[in-house]
This record gives sequence, structure tokens and C-alpha cells, in this order.
Amino acid sequence: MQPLIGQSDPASPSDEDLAAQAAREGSDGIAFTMLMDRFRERVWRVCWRLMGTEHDAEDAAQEVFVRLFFERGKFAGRSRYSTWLHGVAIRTCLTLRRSRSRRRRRESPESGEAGLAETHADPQASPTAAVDAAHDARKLLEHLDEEDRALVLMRFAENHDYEELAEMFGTTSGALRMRISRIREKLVSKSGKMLGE
Amino acid sequence: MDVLDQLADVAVPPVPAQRSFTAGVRRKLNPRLLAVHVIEFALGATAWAVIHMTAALVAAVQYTVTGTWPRGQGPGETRGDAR
Repeated sequence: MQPLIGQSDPASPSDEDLAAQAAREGSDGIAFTMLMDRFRERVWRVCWRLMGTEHDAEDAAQEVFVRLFFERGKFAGRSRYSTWLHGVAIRTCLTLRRSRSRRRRRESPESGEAGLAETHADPQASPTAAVDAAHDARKLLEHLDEEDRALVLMRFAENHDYEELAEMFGTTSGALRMRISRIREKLVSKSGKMLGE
Repeated sequence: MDVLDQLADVAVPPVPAQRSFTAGVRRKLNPRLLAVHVIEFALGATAWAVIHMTAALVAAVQYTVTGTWPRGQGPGETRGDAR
């Protein structure tokens, strides 16, 4: 195993040290494999939240790691590696969802919206009222555009704070607060329910 | 309670098995990696060929116009060196 440079504890290097090592190594490097093991679950969570089905989520998660591999030299260390990686995962999922949505519309123009609305319906779900409400909320999100939907899911389902979200979405936390507020208003008008803070 | 806060109640399914997941990543990655290497090689080879072909063409044009090869490149130089 290659030594991990700049690391006091070689047994558990930080994500940033691994990322720096991965940027230097070739196509079969140990550092990238370690990063993949470390972030597999988190990438999976993001992909499942955004894609909605296990099949699409697995495809997207694999695509995220392929993209991470090719972009491994682009991590500049301005934010935490995990935040940067979440940004890559979100952009990958948005690209895949948009291309799938376009394909679906081309193949059957009238069933496109219905298909999207059913994306998150889980046949084993709804043992409790809370879970029912959560699924209602997810259906409601289908009225949003892709990026707003991703923002809401990362904020409320994954509990990322506004500073992290700002890094992921390439904007400021103030702008994101305003955007979430507008999204709430939009959802209130769509659902007829009160979603206030 | 905010309906949006309830989004966190949706259970995420377990992560796919590591072996099949990693195999999937490699299935996607390897052809693209190969394509990248082929493109890099093709671009490098094209640049090398263009540089060498251009030098030869310039020398041929100069010989046609002036009747002499550029210094150090013509057949006369070689013969002269051999002598």
C-alpha cells in the first residue's frame, strides 16, 4: 500500500488527504478505493432520495463514482470533501433525472408527468401516519423543478445546513433561505395546506 | 409539525452489496477510461505527425523554389557528412 502523504495517522487518513492522494494516483489507486468505501452509503442515500427507485439510485450512485474518478483532480480543498462530493452527486442525479424525463416525454408524451409522480411510491410503505405524510410530501415535491426538489430533499430529508447547501449548489446561504421560502409558498399554493415554519 | 420535516421519516433502503456495486462502477468506468486513453494517444500521435510532416513539406517546398535543401536536412548534407 502506498504511504498517504501529510497524514499523522496512516490507518485512518482524513477524507481530504485521501482526495489529495487520489488526485495523484493512477486508475487503480488505493486512495480512491478507500474513498469509495467510505462514501458509498452517503452517495447511495443522496441518489435514492433524488432518483426515487433503487434501480435508478444504484445506476446514479455508480455514475457519481465514475464522475468523481474523472474529476478527482478538481477538488481544490475550499470546502470539506464530503460537501464537494455531495455537490457532484446532486449534479449527477439532476442530469440523469433530466435526461430520463426528456426520454420519457419523447417515448410517451402523455404519461411523462404521471410516471414522475409515481417515482417515490414504495409498495411496502405507509405503516404509520407519519410515513404517509412523508410520502404525501414527496409527491408534492414533484410539482417543483428538479433543482428546487433536490434542494428541499437535501435540506429536510438529509438535514444539511444552509452553509453546506450553499457549497453544494454553488450559491450563498442567504439566497438559499430565500429560495426555500419561495418553495414553501409554491407548495402551500399547490397543496392548499399550511406548511409554515 | 412542518410537512417538509417529515421527509426525513422516509426510510432509505439498504446500500447495494459492495461487490456488485463496485463491479458496476468498473463496468461503467473501464470503457470510458479506455476511450480517454485512445483519444489522448490519437491527439498526441496526430500532433507528432503534423509537426514532422510539416517540416518535410516545408523542406520540399523550399527545395522546389530555391533548388537547395534546408541546412542539415537535405540528401546532400548526408552525402557530404559521409564523405
